[in-house]
Amino acid sequence: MRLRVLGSVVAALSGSACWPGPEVGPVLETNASSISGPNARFSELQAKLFTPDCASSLCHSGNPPAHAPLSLDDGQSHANLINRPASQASSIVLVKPGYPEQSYLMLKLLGTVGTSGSVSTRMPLNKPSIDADRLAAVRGWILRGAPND
Amino acid sequence: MTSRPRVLLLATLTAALALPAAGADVNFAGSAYVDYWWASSPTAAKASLMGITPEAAVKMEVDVHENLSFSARVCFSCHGLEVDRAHVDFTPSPAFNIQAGRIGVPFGEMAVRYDPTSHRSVSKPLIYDMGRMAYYGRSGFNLGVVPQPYVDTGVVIYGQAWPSEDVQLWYAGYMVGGMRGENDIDFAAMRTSFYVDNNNEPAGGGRAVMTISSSEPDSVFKDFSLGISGMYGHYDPARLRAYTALGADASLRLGPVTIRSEAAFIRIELNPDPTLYRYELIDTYLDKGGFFVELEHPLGSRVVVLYRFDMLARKGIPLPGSDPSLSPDSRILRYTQAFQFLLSSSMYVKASYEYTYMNDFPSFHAFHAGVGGSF
Repeated sequence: MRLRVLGSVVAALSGSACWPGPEVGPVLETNASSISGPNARFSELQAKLFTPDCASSLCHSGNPPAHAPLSLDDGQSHANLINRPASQASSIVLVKPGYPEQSYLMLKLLGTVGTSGSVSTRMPLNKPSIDADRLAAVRGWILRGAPND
Repeated sequence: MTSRPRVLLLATLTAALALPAAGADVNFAGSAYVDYWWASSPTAAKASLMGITPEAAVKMEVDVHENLSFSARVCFSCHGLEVDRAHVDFTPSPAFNIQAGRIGVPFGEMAVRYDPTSHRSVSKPLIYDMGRMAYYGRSGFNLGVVPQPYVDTGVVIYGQAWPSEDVQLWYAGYMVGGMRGENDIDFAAMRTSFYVDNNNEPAGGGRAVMTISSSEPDSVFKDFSLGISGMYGHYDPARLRAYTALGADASLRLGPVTIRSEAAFIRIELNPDPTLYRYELIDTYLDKGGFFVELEHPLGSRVVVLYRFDMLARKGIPLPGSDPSLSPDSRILRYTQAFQFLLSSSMYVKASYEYTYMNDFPSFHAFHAGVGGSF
């Protein structure tokens, strides 16, 4: 308790504003980590799925990535995904525009790729499954022809 | 281990075996340290590299001839086995020298003391910490301001001058590949192989240090140093997002007591797409800055004590994927009480207590204990 009080005193002394810092507006409920449904643009998928959950430094990031076969970095991911064969199963493409059920990306996110005879680990590896809204967004984007929008 | 570090390691060892036969002067040095970290907050423990962590390094220096040397450092730590540094030094005169290769970028005084043997505490100051802190994900605090060692590929020109008998001026300017990332700098990516530039645009910076020393052997005043550092570059592949880092440092030795303080600041430009963020985007950058003040002194012949207070603040919009608790004005304040017990001239035990206050996350107590040595 005494240390907590000491910490608070020190925090107050150091001040929350040693320098002004950038101005930040209020919380936007519409942007609060949710995705705008099956009509989500690819740029939104990049920002709210690939970049935060896939393109970490130890996984699908870098050119080429150090520890995974596919870069999902901003600016590279779309070209790397569309009609490219999966390294784990060369008979399946990562994203087949218009056909989510035949897209390796979708199967890996769902964890059902084992049924195709490939490596069954679900992505993101060792993390909770991505939420239903983002899965629906990926599916909707592939159904719309997987545009780079 | 990926193939590139393995090849470099092999080349280093081959050179070490071959060069003595050619008459070159070869020197080896190294250190190893094992640390155990316990924290009172399970939340902080989950967000950090708690438990046992290793650090070990072997350094080789080859004096090829009077003005040319080669140096390589292989280290093993939380990032695995890496060729930390590998460079040549051309030293034709004290005022003008060139170092090229995989180099340690000179930013702040801690850049020369990052090895566990060279500082008394277990943790480095927050502004330079590489991983032993509660950083809450790479989109949270994302480590300190410029984690040390910051190693990059490039060239540094350095030298020293003596304006008067008691005053030394050391200076350096460098051009390196620069920091890397997409939306915020990703320091972990800097430590992984492929050590290639991500945007074909060098980053640059410099450092200058003035040291005033006493010429009287019996004087209580030993020396006083004042340094400034700065760097600038773009970190994203499209060269759209810049970073600017500034630092200032001072140290004073009075008899057996050493007092140091450093401050560092970085401004990082962000992706300006407002739909990415859960806050209204106004300024398209984030700031990180902080400082530390520390005092160390011997206690008898085998114990050195260190007292440190340090702070790190992150100001700016939380990034996509960051911990929901992270606010646009987040701070870490920490007090460190550290002891280094010298078992012999080359072996030591470190023990330290830390109290960490965080305004967005649970505050916690932490203890470190570790054993290390050097040769």
